[in-house]
Order: sequence, then C-alpha cells, then structure tokens
Amino acid sequence: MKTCIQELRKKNKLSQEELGLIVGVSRQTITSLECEKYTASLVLAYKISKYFNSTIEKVFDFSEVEELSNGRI
Amino acid sequence: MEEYKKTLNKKLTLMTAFTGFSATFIILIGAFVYATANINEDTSDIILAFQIGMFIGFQIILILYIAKYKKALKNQDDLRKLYIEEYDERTKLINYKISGGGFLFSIVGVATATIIAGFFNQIVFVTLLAILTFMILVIQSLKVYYKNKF
Repeated sequence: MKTCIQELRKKNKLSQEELGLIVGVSRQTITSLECEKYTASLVLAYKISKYFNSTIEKVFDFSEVEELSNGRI
Repeated sequence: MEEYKKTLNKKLTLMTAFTGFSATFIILIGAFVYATANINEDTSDIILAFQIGMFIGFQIILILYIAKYKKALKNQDDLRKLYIEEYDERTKLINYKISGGGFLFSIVGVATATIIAGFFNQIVFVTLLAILTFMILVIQSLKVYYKNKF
C-alpha cells in the first residue's frame, strides 16, 4: 500500500528508528511500510496518522482498495 | 509499560525455576549414568548425550534471556526497545507465516517419510504414523479452538 510516511517523517526530521520508537514498532517495520512491502494494521495506521496530526486516509493511499471494491481489479 | 514489567517478572520467575529444574535433571542423569554404567552397557551414548545436551542448551538460552530481561527491567529505554522487539506487528506476522507454512510443510514431509518407511521397516512406519496422527490432531484442535475464539 502506498503511503506518505517517508515524506512526513523527513518533514518532521525523524529517523526510521525514532518514528518506530514513537509508534511502538521496529525500524524494519517502518522501512517495510515506506517500501510498500507491508500494510500496517489499523492500530498502527491510527498511531502514525495521529502522530503526524493527520488522518488515516491522508497518510495511507486507499485507491487500490477502492478499485478492488469497485471490481476494477 | 507497568503491565509489561509484571509480565517480564512472571517470565523471569518461570525461567529461573526451569533453569533450576534443568540443572537438577542434568545432575540426576549424570548420577544415574554413573550408577548404572555396568548394567546398561547396551544403552547408546547418543541418547544420553541428546538428553543432557538439550537441557544444557535450554539452560544457556534461558540464562541469556534472564540477563537480557533483568537488564531491561533496570532501564526504561531498554524496556521499551524490548517491548517493541517482542510485540512488533511485522515480526508477529512473519512468525505466523513461518509457523503456519512450516507446520504444513512438516506434515507433508512426515507423510512422505511414512509412506516410504512402510516399504522398509514396520517400527519406523508405526512411529512416523503416530507422529503424523499427533500433528494432524494438533492442527485440528487448534482450528476448532481458534474458530470458537474469533
């Protein structure tokens, strides 16, 4: 799933390790999220969005999910 | 973090108890082997070596974990890092995938070995069949448990 975590993290001058410590996951999990290899759980998505004062829909790109539900994929 | 501290303390108590139990077991096996050295001449060394080696291995792992947990309990940052290490959701997912896939792969492996052993040795065949039955029973029991749980 596409996200804008990397942009937000860099904007806030945070390392992956620091963001991981804040939201309670490992550095590797943040790397996987940024590389779109792993999809965050609802709780993690909420924690990340809340930390960046944003909403889940703004941080995580749900266009693929919407295409799926519309039967395009 | 207070809840996690309590969990760690419980784990530490269990680990310490098991370390003591392992040490006792190793001493008992040593004493038993020494006392029966002349009686059990047919007993293969590999069995005793496996039993003692397994408990020594467990002990070493437990001692390392005890040291790690005790260190983490003294420092808040280390405790948070340990919490993340143990509860990281990606690591949990990887572990689920490994255990699920690994178990199915093992069942296929044991089933194949059971069929092949049937052509050569009856004792090996029955042993492998018992293991296969046990594995299938475990997987079915867990399926029933989790279907009721979620």
